[in-house]
Amino acid sequence: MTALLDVSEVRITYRPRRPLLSRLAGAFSSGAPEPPPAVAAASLEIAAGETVALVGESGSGKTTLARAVAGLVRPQQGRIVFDGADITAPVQRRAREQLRHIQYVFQNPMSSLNPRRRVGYNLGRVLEVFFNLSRSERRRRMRELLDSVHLDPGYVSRFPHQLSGGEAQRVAIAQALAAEPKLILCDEVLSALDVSVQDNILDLLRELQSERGVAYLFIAHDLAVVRWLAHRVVVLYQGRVVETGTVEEIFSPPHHPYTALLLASIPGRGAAQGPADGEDAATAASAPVAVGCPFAPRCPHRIDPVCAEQDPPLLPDSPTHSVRCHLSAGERARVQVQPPSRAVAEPSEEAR
Amino acid sequence: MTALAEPLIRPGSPEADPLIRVEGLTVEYRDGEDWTGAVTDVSFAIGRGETLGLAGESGCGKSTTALALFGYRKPGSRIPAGRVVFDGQNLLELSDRQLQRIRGPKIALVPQNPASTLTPSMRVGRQVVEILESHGLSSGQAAAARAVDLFDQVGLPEPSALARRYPHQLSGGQQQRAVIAIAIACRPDLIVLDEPTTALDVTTQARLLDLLARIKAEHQMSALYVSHNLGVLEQICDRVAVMYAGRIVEAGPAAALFDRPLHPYTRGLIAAVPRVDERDHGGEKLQGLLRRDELPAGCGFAPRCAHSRPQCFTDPQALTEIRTGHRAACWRTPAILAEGPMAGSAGPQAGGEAP
Repeated sequence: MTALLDVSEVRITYRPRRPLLSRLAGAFSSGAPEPPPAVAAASLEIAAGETVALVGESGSGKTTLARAVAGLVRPQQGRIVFDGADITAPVQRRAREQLRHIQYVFQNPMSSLNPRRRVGYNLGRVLEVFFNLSRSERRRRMRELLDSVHLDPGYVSRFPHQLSGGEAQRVAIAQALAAEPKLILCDEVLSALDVSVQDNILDLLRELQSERGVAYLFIAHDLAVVRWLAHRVVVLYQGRVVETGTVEEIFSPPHHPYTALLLASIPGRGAAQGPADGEDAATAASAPVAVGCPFAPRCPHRIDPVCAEQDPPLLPDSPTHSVRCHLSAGERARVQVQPPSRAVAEPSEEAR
Repeated sequence: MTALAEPLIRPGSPEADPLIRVEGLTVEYRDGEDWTGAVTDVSFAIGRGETLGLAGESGCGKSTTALALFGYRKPGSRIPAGRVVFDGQNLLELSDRQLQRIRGPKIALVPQNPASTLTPSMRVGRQVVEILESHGLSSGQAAAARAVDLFDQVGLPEPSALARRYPHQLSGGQQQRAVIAIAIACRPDLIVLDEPTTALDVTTQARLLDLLARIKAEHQMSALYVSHNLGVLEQICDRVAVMYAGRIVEAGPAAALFDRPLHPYTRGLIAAVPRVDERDHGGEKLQGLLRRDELPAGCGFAPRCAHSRPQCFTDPQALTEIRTGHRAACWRTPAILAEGPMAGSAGPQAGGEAP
């Protein structure tokens, strides 16, 4: 089976905008050094109906990668193939059907709702753009959409400011669903919400997936949420994929040392058990490295001088699990204590 | 109203000789002609060196409560009842001038958004110096040296170079460290932290929590930690109070509260937290939303509670000690506990999130 979305070797660098004069002068001088890439040779695949989580700290390139899939930024290198067609081109040059099949839900739902227009108008716009429906058909679709996100039909006449955070996120999801997409890019859709509301939205996302077979690229920094929703996980560090695998593989050792750090950082009882890898606060916000493994300055298990000199390749631990680390799976297993009892993943249960 | 709280304080407990005591605090917001309660009859105490956590969903009144400890009120609000006793005086009766001598040197605030606390046009080192000078604690070279020392203490890299930077030149985690440095500059007795790590990455948050634990121990500080993140509270607090619709519904030692929660709301809140060691979580999830406009006369949580009975909607609930030092405001608690730990996923009383 071919993937619904195939992102391969994508590289994106944000170049600072330079004033015209210095750009002209640049023709004669060597110019400023290239800034480090936001996304460096990152690859990922999503199958139809699958949820792939993209995790990493802020600045790791999660959102940039999602924006490239949406056509909002253009990669300098690499290819993005969706449903068998090359969609590396920016959004303006994509076919309407390609646009329709990839929808975006943002962290702040208000950013996709016109604040001066009622919910009905906001939903109707999407239907109008993508489908040729009569007025009554459009009304019926709107009611169905609200129903599918568990909102009362009466919400069509509400203004966005009359919605709670959770309700607004439901409307934003309904808006994405209105296009009947094959893929929804969910960018930190839960982080602005209370924990109880988060729980409801998570249930909703799972329900919609099982009903409609929609795939999600789910960006999150909360690993517990990821564990709950995703089938597979891609861990980004400074724009590079450092680990990718099924949810079971990501959440049980041996991990990439960075994944281990993310897991150990979860506060309270949600945390991965076992000793946290010591980390020096001063090196934590390390600047991107020019050579070597990008995580080496923060890594408690780095081997000198290899890690500082060579960027390790992304090597498979298993057919579905790859890790970018000079340490072999066996060496990582030795330094990463298997967490006791309950933190061990039960064999992949009925895993939706 | 304070009579409820008094007999529950045990001799020898941290509350017996507290650093600060809040009694029957009520805060109301203007709502047209009327006043509506944001915080109602809230009482608690924080012992010396103790960290109390204040948990709850948005709008439950936890930040309003925290700000009242400084005598702060948002415009359009009033405090019609209650006392905040600190150093033998009621802070709610002090003048602004008197409060100025307490805010900073005695009680310091670390708010959620560090960027809004730091003055954007002033170097961060200067901002520490200013605080020290304005309270007459230090000045000139000595103050500048103390600023660098504080930045070093909060784990900022290259503190002397960093002191010369402007806030926008710092990362979010560094800004929050700088704010903590400012907060502890005058060695306060109490530090109030209002969601200080919510805007930060999980790794940055973990390091800040370690830092806070270390600083509290070194400076013998008490802390009030306001957060909706139960994991954070469990990690950093000695005791936790859970607020719902402006009232404390449960309070107890952190370990007991998270291991054996009493109030149905706390149980639902804990069950709603996704955990990394579980693919799915059973238990009684929270149903519905806190709706201030639909609060019954009795227990505010009754409309969302799977265990509610008709009396719950009519009879106000008071905090009652169920286990030693562990109180809940729910008359049904003994019956619910008898049903077993975290008894099955009870059916929803209120529909989904949408009414």
